[in-house]
Amino acid sequence: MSKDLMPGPYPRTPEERAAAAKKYNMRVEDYEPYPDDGFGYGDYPKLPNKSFHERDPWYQWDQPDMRHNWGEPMHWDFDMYIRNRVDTSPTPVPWHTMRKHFLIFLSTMLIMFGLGEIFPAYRPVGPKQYPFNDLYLERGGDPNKEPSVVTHYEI
Amino acid sequence: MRRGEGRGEGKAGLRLLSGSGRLRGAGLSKMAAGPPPSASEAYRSNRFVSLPAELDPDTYDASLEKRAADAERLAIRARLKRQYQLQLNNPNPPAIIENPALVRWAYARTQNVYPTFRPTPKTSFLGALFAIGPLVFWIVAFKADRDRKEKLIQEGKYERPFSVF
Repeated sequence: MSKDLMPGPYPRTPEERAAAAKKYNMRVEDYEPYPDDGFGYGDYPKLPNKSFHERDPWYQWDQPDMRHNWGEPMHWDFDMYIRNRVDTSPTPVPWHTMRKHFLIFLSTMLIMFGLGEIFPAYRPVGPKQYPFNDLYLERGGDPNKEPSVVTHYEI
Repeated sequence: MRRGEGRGEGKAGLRLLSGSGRLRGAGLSKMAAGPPPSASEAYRSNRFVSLPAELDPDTYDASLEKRAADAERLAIRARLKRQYQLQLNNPNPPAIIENPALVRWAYARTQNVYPTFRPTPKTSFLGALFAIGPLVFWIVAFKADRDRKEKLIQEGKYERPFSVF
């Protein structure tokens, strides 16, 4: 493809903007480049951040799996907004409500786990008792000597 | 804002249940604060998801300018579709029908970034933060951890975790 059909630098004059809009197959009023902050966007159009979940599933797209038409300007983050990835379709429950409920649940669980670590509660336990005079032979005791008798009970 | 109102309602409700006529009047007058929020105010548009179409005022905008703009967009779309369908249904179709939008997208994201990049205070700061920051951070973290372990080993206080002895 020729150089003038490829993306270029940020458009400065209205003529450059009109030419860029025509190049990207957009209306001049719709065309809005990314702000010229030196980030490397150039004259690429800034399209609304909507994922492909929101596009009409019943329209005859040229590429039905991507819900995208041939020649239509693609979003900068096109590969993020495909239907396997980020979904920006409106949620039935408002976002702030979901966030509030999630934070309440998470903080409650974390606080309870923290309290359980600070104040552990379990059945009473005692030190472990070993048989055979506290495993005298297994711990390397002399088999010829009599071991001291160890009783773990009191009657 | 919404949360405060909710809690106020709850407290007033409890007061109503517990009882006397004097408290009931006081609770209601403190609560009454104008009409309830509209659905779009209650939904509170955010930057992660879009507004539902029913709450978006653009859906109900039937002005002539909007319809003219929609007609222009439809004309562009129809022209592009015609170009594509002509190539697709050609008796001798080309091997690949290349999509200029796709080519432009790939070019913009790869080869057009360096020519259009410009060092500004913001880009320099972000570049330092994301490129040099993690490197320096991990260097310092690993070095400090190793020095601490070496000191413990020299003092003889370090217990080998997977020792076979």
